[in-house]
Amino acid sequence: MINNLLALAALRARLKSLVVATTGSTALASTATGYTRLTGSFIDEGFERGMEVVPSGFPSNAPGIVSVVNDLSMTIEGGRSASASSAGRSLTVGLPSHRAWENMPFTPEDRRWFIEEDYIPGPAFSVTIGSTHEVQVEPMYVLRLYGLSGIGITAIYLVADAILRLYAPGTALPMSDGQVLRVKGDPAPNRGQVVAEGASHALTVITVPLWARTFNNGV
Amino acid sequence: MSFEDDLRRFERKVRNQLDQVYNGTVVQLARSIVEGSALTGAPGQPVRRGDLKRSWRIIRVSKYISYIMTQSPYAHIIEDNRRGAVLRSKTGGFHSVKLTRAGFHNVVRYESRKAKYSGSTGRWHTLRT
Repeated sequence: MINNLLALAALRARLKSLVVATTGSTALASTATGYTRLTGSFIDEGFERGMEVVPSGFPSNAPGIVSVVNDLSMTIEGGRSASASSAGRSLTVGLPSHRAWENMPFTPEDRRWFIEEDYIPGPAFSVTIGSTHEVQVEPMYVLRLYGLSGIGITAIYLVADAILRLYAPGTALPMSDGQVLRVKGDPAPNRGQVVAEGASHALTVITVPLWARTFNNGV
Repeated sequence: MSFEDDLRRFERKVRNQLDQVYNGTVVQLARSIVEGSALTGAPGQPVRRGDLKRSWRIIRVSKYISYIMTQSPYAHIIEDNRRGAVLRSKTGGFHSVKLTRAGFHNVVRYESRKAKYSGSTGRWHTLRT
């Protein structure tokens, strides 16, 4: 049987590596309304209205919600603190910073993205014979991605589809004990329709079917 | 007994086994969603008054097409463990449809083996040594 703690750790590590859009390290300035740049393009880099952007290298690095995107400027809901342009800064859209991990207390906030997880250990089957025969386990990882309501589908589609690409069929997720968890291809990971969830959020459910083989020796 | 007779018997056997596998699979899938199943790991539907559990139906559209469905307005909340979903039951849980879908091949394999090793009565053969 597999170590489900390590399996969940491997899944979370992969999830935390999510990058949907990023400027990379570059010269950026902040203004009273958002961010500006002299070269490059926020649009080409994949930023969209409604995404939660995380700044780095600024005097204040609080996440913010994008309200308008142009090539050289980005407006953030609630504004920003102004600072002159400096190199070595970045803006990134990745995994929502509000995360409801299993069995941890969590309170969602209005106008903030968040993500919830369910890890289901699933069934197990002997697939070979003998005393230390192989056992196949089939866990499942279910994520509920909550974007913002009333802003269309682009932002939540892009983030959800980026998560699905992280868990493409056949992806191997090494666990720290040497075992390997793999993403199934039949059925492959998929997500559901975007539906309203309360007054502030829109939800899509992402399902990641998994499998792993171990020896029947308690390892 | 001619070769032609043998072929006809084989054809009847294959058709019977196909019907057995199909019918058995549909029943197992429905059972997985509603009651839970070790084949799929699905926990089944939680029970408070039993309305959700009773709402699931098998609708046979044609010989080899069936739907397993519910019209319960809160079935999707339980299925996806959406915010506000609270289990008030010692049995059942979330994600039964997803787990049943993911475990579909296990159900078909089980029913195929049952059809192969059981006779027309559906009883398992005993291996005589």
